[in-house]
Amino acid sequence: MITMNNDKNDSRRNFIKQSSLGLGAGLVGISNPFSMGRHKNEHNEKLHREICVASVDLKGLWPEKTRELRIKRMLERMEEVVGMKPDLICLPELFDTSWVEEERPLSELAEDEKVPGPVTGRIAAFARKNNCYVVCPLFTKKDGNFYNSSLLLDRKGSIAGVYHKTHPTDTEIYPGQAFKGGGTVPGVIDQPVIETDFGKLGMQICYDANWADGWDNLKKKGADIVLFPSQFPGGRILNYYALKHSYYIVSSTGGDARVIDISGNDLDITSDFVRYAWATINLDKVNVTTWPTNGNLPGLFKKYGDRLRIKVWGNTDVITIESRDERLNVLNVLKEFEIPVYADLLKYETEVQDKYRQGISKM
Amino acid sequence: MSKQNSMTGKEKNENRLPREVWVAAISLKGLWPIETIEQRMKDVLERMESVYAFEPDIICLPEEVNQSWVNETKTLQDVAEDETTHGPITSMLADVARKQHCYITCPIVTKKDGHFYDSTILLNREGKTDGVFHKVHPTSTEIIPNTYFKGGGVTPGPIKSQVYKTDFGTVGFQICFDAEWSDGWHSLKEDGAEIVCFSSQGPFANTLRNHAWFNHYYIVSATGENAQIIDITGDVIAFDGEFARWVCAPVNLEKELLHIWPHVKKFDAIQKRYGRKVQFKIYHPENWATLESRHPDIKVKDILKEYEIPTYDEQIKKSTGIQNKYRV
Repeated sequence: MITMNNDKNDSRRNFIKQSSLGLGAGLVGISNPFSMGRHKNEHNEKLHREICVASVDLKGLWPEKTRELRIKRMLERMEEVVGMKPDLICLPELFDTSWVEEERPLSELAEDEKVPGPVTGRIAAFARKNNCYVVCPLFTKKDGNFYNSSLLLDRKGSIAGVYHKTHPTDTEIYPGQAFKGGGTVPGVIDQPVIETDFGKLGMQICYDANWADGWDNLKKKGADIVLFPSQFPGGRILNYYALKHSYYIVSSTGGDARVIDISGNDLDITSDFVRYAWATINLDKVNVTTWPTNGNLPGLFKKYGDRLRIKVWGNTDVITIESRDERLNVLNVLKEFEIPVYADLLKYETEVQDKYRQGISKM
Repeated sequence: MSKQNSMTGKEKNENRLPREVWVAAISLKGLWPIETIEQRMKDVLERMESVYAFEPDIICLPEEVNQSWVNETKTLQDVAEDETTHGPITSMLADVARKQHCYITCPIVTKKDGHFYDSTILLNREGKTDGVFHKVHPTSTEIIPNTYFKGGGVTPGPIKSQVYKTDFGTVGFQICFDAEWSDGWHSLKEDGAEIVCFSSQGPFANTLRNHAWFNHYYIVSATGENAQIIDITGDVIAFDGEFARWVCAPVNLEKELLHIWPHVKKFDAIQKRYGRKVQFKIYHPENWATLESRHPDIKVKDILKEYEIPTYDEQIKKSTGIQNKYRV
């Protein structure tokens, strides 16, 4: 389902590989597969797994008369975030046709999944110009079927992957109901994550939020960030999945756009006056349980001070720990202090429970 | 249900809706640490008195109410109570249940067939045991003998725990660390729980809100840190604070969670027809709505049937069927 045509030999990778990041990793014996692809320049002093993500919403741009006007206005809105030098920008579901009055049949709207079509091409040019990934949600066609999709465009404007909405609404599926000239086919539940030069991306679209299967699948496949283009905002559903699976979620919808932390808290959200959300996020960051980790906090602070950023989120019952030092890998720190990450703690506790529960059931 | 409510002694409250349930929870905050079990129970009973004026149908107490953060340490053998015959703590709370004519959750360590359990005993309005829940996911330190508990360890309960029919609705239980797993909560949903009573040392505040909306039931939480009542949407109905370490509020079981699309188009017509007898609440970001009956003669299910609106779960089930049919 996903086509991965990242160029493994792009100049950025080679440049970074030969520069100080590679040396830094060597000094402390940490092999970080992502450090080579880091987007780092004189304007951008980020940590080795720190990236800038941005998202624009559709609020105020609908209803719209024509598709052309919609694309033009979306490109204008995207220009508002280029100053942050984002590594990734997310656009809303079917960004070129959602709530656009001009109706065309799916056969005219749907674009190819490998070679950028007319709309994808314009977004790809933006991606190239601004050296960033862009999530481009529109109709695609493949093997005679139409899909409600999200294309991931890489920094060169090539299609790095595609996600097919797994759970379209009934009216999107039935031909001629929500869409002129056809219906969309639901994507398979088991869709892969897409490799980028900073981490693994997964996607969900709109109505998908009402099913756990896709979100769970992306966790299993190691997604660092899940993009959520949608018409509806998602609200607490997204906060729940971010926390449950310890991944970031970047949403772009008809109502708002958000960047959601692995702790389940909003890092940024659009407002009446600003229709974009953005944040610098660190992928070298983990969730641990408040208990028993709370007992380790004094020791962590004493040894590592501000080289770690530790936040106790009382509202979502979790502690996040991130490295603020290139030479410090957060997982190594946890290992040193014998602190399991959230999922590992629950795995261990479940094993103990099952062992003793099994004991009773045999009696 | 109205007939059942007549059993509850609520005749004096004529404005009460048929499926309105008054739930209460007591926090342990400020009551620990303390020296003895006797002092603890005295404090708890005193705190419980604050909610009696509301005539609650059920009062929820925190995990191991008699011994959490009590300095006096006794062996499990000494503190564990029998599950069929009332021990000292169960008797004390059963007496309150009888006098206040309400259900009480009594979270203590119990013993059964040579095993200890971190349990919640459900006492009915007559002070009798209606059911016992065994904590499904104790911490490893609680399980491994002599790590947390003196003289033994507790055995994890079965994941598929029972729900209990009361005279106001179906209740289920979870305890403390259970909040970190989904299995027990899902099991209660499948078995029709309408209210889940959560006893705990830790608060798990947001985690509980997620379990509530995910499973569309009310949660009443009594912990070492706080007490709260959570709506089927995950919204907080009542939360304790430094001036009142307890909560008590009505919840209406005649209420359904809906996905608004495309049914929102019918909401105006329903509201026009039924006026204040029904109440919609729309959750815009999530595309949810709740529909609640505010009149004794009106059932939500009847309205949904009349207007051909599925519940949230029915809609998702139907959509899944269509998606599977069309998926290549």
